[in-house]
Amino acid sequence: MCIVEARDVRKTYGAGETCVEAVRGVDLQVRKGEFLAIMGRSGSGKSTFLSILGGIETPTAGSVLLEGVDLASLRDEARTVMRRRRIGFVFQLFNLIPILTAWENVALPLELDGMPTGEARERAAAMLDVVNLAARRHHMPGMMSGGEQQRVAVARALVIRPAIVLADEPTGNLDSANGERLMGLFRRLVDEEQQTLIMVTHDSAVADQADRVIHLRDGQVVDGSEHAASDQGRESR
Amino acid sequence: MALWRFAYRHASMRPGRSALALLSIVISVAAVSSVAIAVSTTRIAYREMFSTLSGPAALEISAEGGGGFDGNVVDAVRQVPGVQQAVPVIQRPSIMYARNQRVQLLVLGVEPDTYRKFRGYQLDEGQDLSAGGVLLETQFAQRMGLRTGDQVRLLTRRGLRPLNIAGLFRVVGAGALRAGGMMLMPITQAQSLFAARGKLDAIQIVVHETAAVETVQQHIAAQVPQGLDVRPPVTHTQLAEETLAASEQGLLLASEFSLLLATFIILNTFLMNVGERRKHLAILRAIGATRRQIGKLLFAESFVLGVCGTLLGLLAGVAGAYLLIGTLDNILMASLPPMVISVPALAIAALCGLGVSIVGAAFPAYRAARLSPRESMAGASREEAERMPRKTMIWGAIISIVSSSLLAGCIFGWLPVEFAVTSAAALLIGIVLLTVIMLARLSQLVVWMMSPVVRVEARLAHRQLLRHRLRSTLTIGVLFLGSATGVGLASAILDNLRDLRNWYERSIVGDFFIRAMMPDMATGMSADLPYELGPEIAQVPGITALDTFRLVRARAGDATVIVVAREFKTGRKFSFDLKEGDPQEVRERMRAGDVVVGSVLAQRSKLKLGGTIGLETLQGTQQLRIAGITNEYLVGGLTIYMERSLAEQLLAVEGVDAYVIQTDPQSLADVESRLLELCNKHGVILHSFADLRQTIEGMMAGVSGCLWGILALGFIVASFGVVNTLTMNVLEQTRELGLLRIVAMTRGQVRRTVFAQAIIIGVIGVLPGLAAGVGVAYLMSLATTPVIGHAIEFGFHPVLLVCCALGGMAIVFVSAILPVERAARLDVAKALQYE
Repeated sequence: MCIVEARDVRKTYGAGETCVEAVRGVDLQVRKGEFLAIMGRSGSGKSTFLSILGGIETPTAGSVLLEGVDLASLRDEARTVMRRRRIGFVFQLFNLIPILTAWENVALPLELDGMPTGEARERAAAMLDVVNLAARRHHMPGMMSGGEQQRVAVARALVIRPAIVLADEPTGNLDSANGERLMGLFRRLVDEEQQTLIMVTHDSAVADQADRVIHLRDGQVVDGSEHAASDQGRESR
Repeated sequence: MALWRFAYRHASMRPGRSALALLSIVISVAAVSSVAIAVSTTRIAYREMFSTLSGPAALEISAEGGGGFDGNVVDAVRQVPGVQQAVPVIQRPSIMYARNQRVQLLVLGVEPDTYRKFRGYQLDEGQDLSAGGVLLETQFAQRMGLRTGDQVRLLTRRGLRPLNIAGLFRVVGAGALRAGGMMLMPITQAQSLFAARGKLDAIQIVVHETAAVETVQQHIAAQVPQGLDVRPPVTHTQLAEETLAASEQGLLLASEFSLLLATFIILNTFLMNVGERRKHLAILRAIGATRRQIGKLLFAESFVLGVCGTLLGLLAGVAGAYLLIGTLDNILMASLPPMVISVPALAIAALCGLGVSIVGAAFPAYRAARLSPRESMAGASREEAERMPRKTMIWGAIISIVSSSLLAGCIFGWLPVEFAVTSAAALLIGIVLLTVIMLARLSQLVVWMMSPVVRVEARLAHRQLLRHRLRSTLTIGVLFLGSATGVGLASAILDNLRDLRNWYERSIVGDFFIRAMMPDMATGMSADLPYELGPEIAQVPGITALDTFRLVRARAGDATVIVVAREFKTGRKFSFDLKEGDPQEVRERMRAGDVVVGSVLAQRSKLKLGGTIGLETLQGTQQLRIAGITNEYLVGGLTIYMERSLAEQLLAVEGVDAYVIQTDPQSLADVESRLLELCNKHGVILHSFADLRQTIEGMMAGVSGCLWGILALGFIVASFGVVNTLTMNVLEQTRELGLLRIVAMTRGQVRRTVFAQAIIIGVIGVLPGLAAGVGVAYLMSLATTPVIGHAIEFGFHPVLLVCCALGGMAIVFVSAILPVERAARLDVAKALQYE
């Protein structure tokens, strides 16, 4: 079953001589429970494409359907609510709110959606348990390591029980050990929870962990670049 | 809840900034509330004073000219259908001596039984009036330490008279608490003491519930002789309100500018908050906070700030009102009661405080709500930051063009001059917004001037300021507005004080003045002097001229005016600050029966030199020719000067409020000692011209002190903006400053860099502000015309400009000290890690 579908998505910035086409007609379908990796060099448009998939940006042309709903056709408020309830984000730089504790960061999307604080706190605590950070729930991000911060970010993305999780270079700011730990967590979520995961990465070792990899170059999917993760990667799981 | 937590913790991280924003609201609310409370207290005091006198009376009969009239009228009035009660009274201000104190009070001569039924007063102690003696108002007596049976002396037309206190009374009703300083005596006794046998000052009329007041009024008017006025008592407050108007306008203007400055501070503070939290707000947007939620967050923060600031401001405003009431007390020469904290006054101030915070946060809230969640992604650019200055410029241009047009209309007379100050304020705001396009050039000029001394530091400072044009522009704008309004108001104050000084130096001409009390500047009421005093003064050797002064209330059309009856004898010094009319011609024409009117009265009633004014007299309406128009600060300028003999003829003026004495310069000391003996004998006051000048200068100092105080607050509020901006700049530059320190910039150089930012902001803000202030002063001189009846001569005050320039730059320097030290003491290692 296709949970997210991109149809001829294009994104252009500027006009006239300064016009830049960041994404040039990308088509994509992602099944439920699939782990898709998007690779490409710097400036290939992968982060832009990810932000379009997540409703953070709207495409200049084309459409993005999430569970059958065209995100581009929604007004900002509706798109934001959709993002809040159905899309989990994990950023390269963690993007935790530094003045909120771990559980407050995790509970944030729930409370923004109107959930009572007590209930949100319980769900957040449970999610921190999943990422093995129950003991750090009262700590500020500044008191945690990079790996711990990223796990809190993952918990925040998952607490809403999203349809899809979008991760933008999640291991980019982590050392190899933490990176592996994080990837292990993602893989477990995909295998055990049937979580759909779309990840942008330039690290082939990370991409190998995915079910499928596509390559972007100059805003387009490189023909013939889509492939399943390598056998080695599959075997390591 | 989550967003509240986010907002609260962020505010806690920046306590200084939050405190400064809060203080700006506190100060502006304090300014507005203190002015509102002081003015409403004064208005209420006068209204209640009159309502205490008039009680439940729906109508009052009095003579044109405020003098006495035949008491037989009361019988005829009692027969008029619809009249439930007709209460005759003698009411005179006077001076009472008791327990080595000299106090002003109001004496009411009444028919005991009639008045008791009318006013319903309650006897707290002693016996009623029918037993003989006088009654004193209880609270007043207690303040004086007086009891039943004590003896006091009262100043009357027949001199100082001893009286026994028969009892203490309390007036029933709302006016009770403020009735202080009142004495009741039998009407016949009052008529005797004040040389008004068979006469009355007023008849209070209570109308039957079922009767129509207007109908009864018409019937009474038909019954009473010509020259008697039948009107509702509340109209007596008109004079008081006119007198207050001028003081009120100045105070309101100053408090309005405080509000404007506070709004700019809030705007700047919230823009900084949004800028600092930009990334976090983008993250919130990315994880699902809607624009509305972000906007509401900002508004909620400003609302909380507004509520806290307003509450504290109201408290401070009450304290400020206490000081202001003391000043108004001096100006009006009346004994104002303790402060009345009226709900409307507090409500207005509260709305202003909340309004300032909401309006100031509106644009930042809009900006925050428009943040793209894309900024949360790594490497996202902040292209929106550059679009805002263009919109600012557009708005600046629109506001400047519209307000300039309105201003031109006011100057050329196409629009009412009352719009001038508002248009000027709008033009100042427009100029501030346009500064964003001039910032680069202006700051470059300042940098060039500083280059010989601090080349590198000035360049770095320049770059930092241009990095955040809007923030820098707003900070400069606060200084610009503070300087412009400060100089404008200060110049206007100095010009007004000069005009006031000219007035009293030209109008109050004499070597000595004898009075019982200063006339109430709002009502013109004053205590009579004893009859025998005049002849005794005239006997003193060395006196070259003896004039009398008598103020009576009268009506000219719909306006209540004060008629000043004087003697304009040949050889006396001219005593008008004429705005229109030739002095010699005025003197001759007044002897011929013409009058001189105050400029405010002339302005309001559209009177011209050579025209006429219709005065209600005992002989009906008399058209009096206007020989001159004079500047007048007495009773709000609603005055008509006429020869004493004419006043006696038209208004049955009797008695004297003050003697004006001119002496032979050789005999000054002797005359003074003789006059002092006479004054001590009769219980009246002697002033030399120097004494009087000191009294008036003291009053003026009080007024200008209050206005200077409000202006100083404006500069203080402006300084908050500078502190905020420089602190924010230092924070943002933390990493950069760390790098600079590593490449061997010393702490001293870091200090000079931040000081250079302050100097650039100060020079661009303060100096043009001073120039704009001169323009504001000119406009204010135009705008005061409707209030005081003539344009105040506009003056250029170079010393003021220099002081304001130095003061403004000093404030900027002092404001920069904390941010400078913060920058100089940065931990280099930590600074490099700062995001």
